[in-house]
Amino acid sequence: MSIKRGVSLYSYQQAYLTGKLDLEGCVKAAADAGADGIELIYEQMPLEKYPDCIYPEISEKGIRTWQQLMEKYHTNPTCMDSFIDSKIYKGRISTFQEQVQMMEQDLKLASKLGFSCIRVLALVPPEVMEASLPAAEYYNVRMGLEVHPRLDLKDRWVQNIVEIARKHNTKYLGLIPDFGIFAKGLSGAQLNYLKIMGEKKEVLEEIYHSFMSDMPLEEIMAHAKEKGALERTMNMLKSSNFMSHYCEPEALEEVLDVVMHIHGKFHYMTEDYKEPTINYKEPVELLKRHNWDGYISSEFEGQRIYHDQECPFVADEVEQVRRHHVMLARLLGEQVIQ
Amino acid sequence: MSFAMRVNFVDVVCDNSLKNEYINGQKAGYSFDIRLSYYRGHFLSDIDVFEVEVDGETVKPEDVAFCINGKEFAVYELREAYTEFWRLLDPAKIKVYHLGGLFQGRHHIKIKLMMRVPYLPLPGGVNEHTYMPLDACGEKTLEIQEAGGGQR
Repeated sequence: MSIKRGVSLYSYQQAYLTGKLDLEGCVKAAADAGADGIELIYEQMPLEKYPDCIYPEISEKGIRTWQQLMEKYHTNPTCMDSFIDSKIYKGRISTFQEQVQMMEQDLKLASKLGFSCIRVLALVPPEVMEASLPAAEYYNVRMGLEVHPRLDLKDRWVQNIVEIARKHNTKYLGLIPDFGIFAKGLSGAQLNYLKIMGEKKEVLEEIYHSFMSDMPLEEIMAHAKEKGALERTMNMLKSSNFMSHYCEPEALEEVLDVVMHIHGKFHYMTEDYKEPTINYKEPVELLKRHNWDGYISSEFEGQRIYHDQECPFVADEVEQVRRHHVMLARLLGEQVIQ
Repeated sequence: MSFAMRVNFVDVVCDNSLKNEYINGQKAGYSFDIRLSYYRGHFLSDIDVFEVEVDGETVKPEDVAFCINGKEFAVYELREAYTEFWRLLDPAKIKVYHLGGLFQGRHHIKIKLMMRVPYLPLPGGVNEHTYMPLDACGEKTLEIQEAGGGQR
């Protein structure tokens, strides 16, 4: 029983899209960061292309390519992401049965690639997951509902899954919490962006500390305005309450029996290996205390904020993931090699 | 159009991709490449609007073909192409039927490409059909490449 470290290759999306890293380069970057678990969004980084197999099909050759990649870098497939495209048809929502078929298709693909679970996106209806249980058992792949802001572990929507899993007494259904639920206020990437765009250091520090001490948003905004915050800072503050919804780490304790995998969401790692706005310490301590067994899969999501806003900054995804793993290793009490 | 998601990692209209297309030695039109401006591949049926404008003139949809995976689709066929997967790294080739092709020199290509994020119903949307719109539009001025020269 142990907590292991993985990386979702989603973290390297910018490097992948701009051609700086290919799929192998992403796996290598994760392995270099000290991770031995790989999470994949297949539709993002498919193994094959025309005239070979086109998603969602995969050939034996594609499977072999993946296996060789895992062998070469001593990594294991951990989790594949499953979206259930409920609106691929223009004029209508996919029927219940069609959504179950999409789930079966993802379970099958995950099984062929050796993933032991799929992360099902937060808005997929619980009844679709329940009806997919026989397929999950058949393919021996577990389904975990993503618990992502602004959902929280105590929400009815999430509790439904917990109840269904316990009712069936099955390991094939459960939750995949995202560390984003333990975040407060503007993200580290947003604060960094505002700093680059010329916001005053004292304004940003006050905003940061106010969020950490749970000051109501209206007060934070009033203070920022008083201090002459930039308009873009005010706009960011104004929209911050949509996603921000802090979940107390203790809430993990009550659902730990159905947590199969965890998403290590982060937005910004400082040079001294801290994620300033996400509470990692307490949830990781809780997991250790309960001898939770599974992967924490890093998911860097701080690259997009800089786009489309005349901001020249490009996040270094490889370095950010490396720093995240130094932090995780320290929290887990591993011997840290830097 | 109100808010739409935008994932702006790469240019939509690809550099050095504009060239004339020949049929039986005659310039029958031209083509250029576009990339999907998103973080995850899409089925073509997720396209809600696809329009091409060249040098300020809207191209008639019946003169446009959208080509991926070794196939050519008419614009009206895109909405039904729910098994045709557009990979992030592979540009689509856009062919325009235009007798005489384009003159040598620079041309401004403007693409209107609005899609749906097919897994993301909008909470508080007007109805259950309201999904997150994706703005994958782009424009760029390209120099026409000599036939047979440059890229394939």
